Amino acid sequence: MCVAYPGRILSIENHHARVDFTGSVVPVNISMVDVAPGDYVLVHAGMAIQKVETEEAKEWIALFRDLEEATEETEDDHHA
Amino acid sequence: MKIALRHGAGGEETSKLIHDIFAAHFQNEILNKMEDAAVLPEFKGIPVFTSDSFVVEPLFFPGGDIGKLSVCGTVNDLACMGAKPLYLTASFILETGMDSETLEKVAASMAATAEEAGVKIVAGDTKVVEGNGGVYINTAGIGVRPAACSISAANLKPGDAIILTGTLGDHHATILTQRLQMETSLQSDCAPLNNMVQAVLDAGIDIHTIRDITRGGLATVAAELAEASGCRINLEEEKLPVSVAVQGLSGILGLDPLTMGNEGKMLLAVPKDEAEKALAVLKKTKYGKHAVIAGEVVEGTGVFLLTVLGSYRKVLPLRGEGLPRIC
Amino acid sequence: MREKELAAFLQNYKGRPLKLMEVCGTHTSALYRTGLRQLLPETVTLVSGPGCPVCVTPTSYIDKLVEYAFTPGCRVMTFGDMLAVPGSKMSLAEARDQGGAADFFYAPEDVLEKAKTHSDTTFILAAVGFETTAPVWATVIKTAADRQIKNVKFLTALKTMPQALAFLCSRGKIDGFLCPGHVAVITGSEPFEQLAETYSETMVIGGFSQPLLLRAMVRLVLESSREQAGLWNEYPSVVKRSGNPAAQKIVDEIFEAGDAVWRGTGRLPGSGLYIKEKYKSFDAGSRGLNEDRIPPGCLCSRIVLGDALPAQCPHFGKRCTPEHPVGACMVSSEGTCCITLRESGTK
Repeated sequence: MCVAYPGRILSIENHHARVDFTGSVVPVNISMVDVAPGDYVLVHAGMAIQKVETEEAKEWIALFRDLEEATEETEDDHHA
Repeated sequence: MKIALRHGAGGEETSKLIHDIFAAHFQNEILNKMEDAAVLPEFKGIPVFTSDSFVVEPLFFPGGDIGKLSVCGTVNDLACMGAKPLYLTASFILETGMDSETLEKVAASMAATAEEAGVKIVAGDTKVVEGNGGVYINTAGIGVRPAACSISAANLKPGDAIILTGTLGDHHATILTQRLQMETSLQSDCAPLNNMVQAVLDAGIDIHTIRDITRGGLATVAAELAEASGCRINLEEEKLPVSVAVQGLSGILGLDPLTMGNEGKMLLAVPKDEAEKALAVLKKTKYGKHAVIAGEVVEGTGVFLLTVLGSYRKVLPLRGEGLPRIC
Repeated sequence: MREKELAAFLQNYKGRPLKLMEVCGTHTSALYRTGLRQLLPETVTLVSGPGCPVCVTPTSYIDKLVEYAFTPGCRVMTFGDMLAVPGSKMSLAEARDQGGAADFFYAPEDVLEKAKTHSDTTFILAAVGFETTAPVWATVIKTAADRQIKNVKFLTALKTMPQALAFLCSRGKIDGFLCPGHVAVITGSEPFEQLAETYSETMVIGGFSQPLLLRAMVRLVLESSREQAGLWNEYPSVVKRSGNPAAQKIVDEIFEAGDAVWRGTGRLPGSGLYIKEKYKSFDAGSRGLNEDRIPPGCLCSRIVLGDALPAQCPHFGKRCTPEHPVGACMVSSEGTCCITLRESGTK
C-alpha cells in the first residue's frame, strides 16, 4: 500500500514532471515538493511525496559505532 | 484497404488475400502447392508437436510484434523439448476494420522470424469476424528430436546447475509500458531460441531440462519444474539477472521481476560438472550472451531464494491475473 | 560487505527475548521478500500490526463499492489489489464478472482525464490508505474541484496511524516498533518521537529496501534489547522531523479528522479522515460505513493487533487461503495471513 520508489526528474512543466525510473519515464505530480531537473523524488501513486536527499555515510557509521559500543559493554559485563 | 467479412468468406477475396499477403511472404515449395494440407518429407527422428495462440495487445511493441511472437513462441516450445523445429502452420482470425497494411507488416515479420529460425510456414487458415481491427494468431509446429533424447520437465536431478540465458521480465515490462503509455527504453526480448539450444546440444552437453520463461516469470516456471521433477530448486538472489530498466519499472509499480515473463529467455538444468561448458557455449550465441549460472537443484520440494543476506525464503508462482494479454 | 555484519548481529542475537511489531503492510511484505524475517532467531518474535489499510477496512465499505458497481451510470475505480477484497457477499472482481463496472488505476489522477472524456459516467474512486496516500487523494479532489469535474466522487476509507500506535503502545505488550517509513515521510518523525516519549517505547522508522530495512531492524533489536526508549530515524534521506508541510497542508484543506472503525481494534477516536463540508459534493457516502461482518472463527481482528498468529486461526490454510479468503488478512497481498501462508518455509 505504501509502495513508493525514487526516480530522477528529467523536466518540469507547471506542477508536473517527467520522472525517469532507470529507463521508463512517468508523468508525476510535483505540487507537494520543491525540486528541479536532476533531483531525485520519492513517488507514490503518481505523486512526488518527498525530495530524496543523498544518503550520508554518517548515519550508517552511527549504527556501527553503537553496535560496537554495545558489544564492548557486553564483553565488559562478562569480564567484570 | 480495410479487412471486411468477405475476405474470410472462402471465395475470391479470401484467395487474393492469402496470395497477396500470406503466400507472398511465406514462400516455400510446400506452401506454394496450395493444397488442402501440407505433405511433409519423411521424418528422421521422433516427431515433436505443439500449438500456441497469440492475442497480445498492442499488436506492435518495442522489440517485436504479434507476428514475431507467434513464430518464436511455437519454435521455442519445440526447442524446449530438445527438438529441431521444422514446419509451422499459421492460422489467423482477423477482426473487421483491420488494415491490410498492418497485416502485411505482421506477415513480413513472421517470414523474417521463420527464416532466422530456419522453419517453413507450410499451411494455415484465415477467418474474419466482426470487431475492431484486431488479430489473433495460432501457430502449430512440428520438429524432430533424436530417439535418445529425454529432455523433460520431469528430468531435473539433485546436483543439477540452473542456468538462465539472460535478464528477467523484459517482455512483460515492455508490454506494461505500452499499456500505460509510458516513454521507455525497454524492449521485448522476443526471439527464436532454437539455434541457441542446438548449439548447447551440439556441444554434447547432457541437458536434463529446458523451459522458456514465459507468462508468470521465473517463479512460475521453476515451481512447475520442481513439482514435475519432485525436486527443490534454490535460486541465488545475487546471481539473478535483472536489467536496471526492469528494476525501475517493477519498483514504481510494486511488481516482482521473478513473476514477470519473457519471450526470449530460457532456464536450462544441466549436470553441475557441465555447467561452465554450457555457459561458455551459450555466451557465444546471439541470444545467450548474458547467461548465468543462477542456482541449483537439490533434494526436497518447492522453490527457494538464497537471499543476499544469507537466508532462504520461499519463491511462489504468480497469483492472480498478472497482466492480461501479454502474449 | 558490512551488511553481512549487520545480518550476523541479528542471526547471533542472544539477548533477552523480544516481541517486536511492524505496522506497515509494505514492511510485512519487504521483510519476507528480503529474507530478513528468516534471519531472526527464535527469541525475537516479530508480529504484524494493523498497517494494511485493506485489512482494517470494515466489510460495509466493500459492500458500498459493490453496490456502486451495479448502479447504472457508475464506474468504480480502485487500486489493483482492492479488486479481490471480499465484502459480506462478494468482491469487486466478482461484481465485475457479473457485469458490474469496476476497474483499476495506477495513479488516481489518471481517472480525472477519463472522467473528462466520459461525462455520462460517474466515477466512484475508492480512496483508501494511510497518511502516505491521503495527500494524493487530497490533491485529486482539489484538482477535480478546481477544474469543475463533476462526475467524480470519492468513497473514503482513510486512516491515520498515531492513534492506532498509541492504542497498541498503551496495551504494553510490545518491546519495540518498526514504524512505517512512508507514512513518516508525510507526518515527519515528530509524532513518533512523542509516542516514544509518552509510552516509553522503542521506535525505529525504517525504509523498504534491503539495506535500509536491515539497518532499521538492527537498530530496533539493539535498542529494544537495551530497553532504550526513544525514536530512531533510520530513513533520513526522506523522513524529516516535520515531514512534508505542503502535503500536510493540502490534507488539512480537504479532510478533517473523525472517528473510524478499525477492523479488530474497534472505534479509534480521531483516526479517520473525512471530506470536509466545503467539498462534500465529492463524497460518495463515506461516513458511517462502520458495520463489519466477521465470519465465525476468523481471528483477523486479533491477528492485526499481534495478539494471535495466523497459525492459531482455525481457518488458516484450510478454509481460508489466498484463492478463497475468509478474512481481510488473507485477502490483501500485504495481509499477515496471506504473506505468512504464501511465504512460510525456510532453510
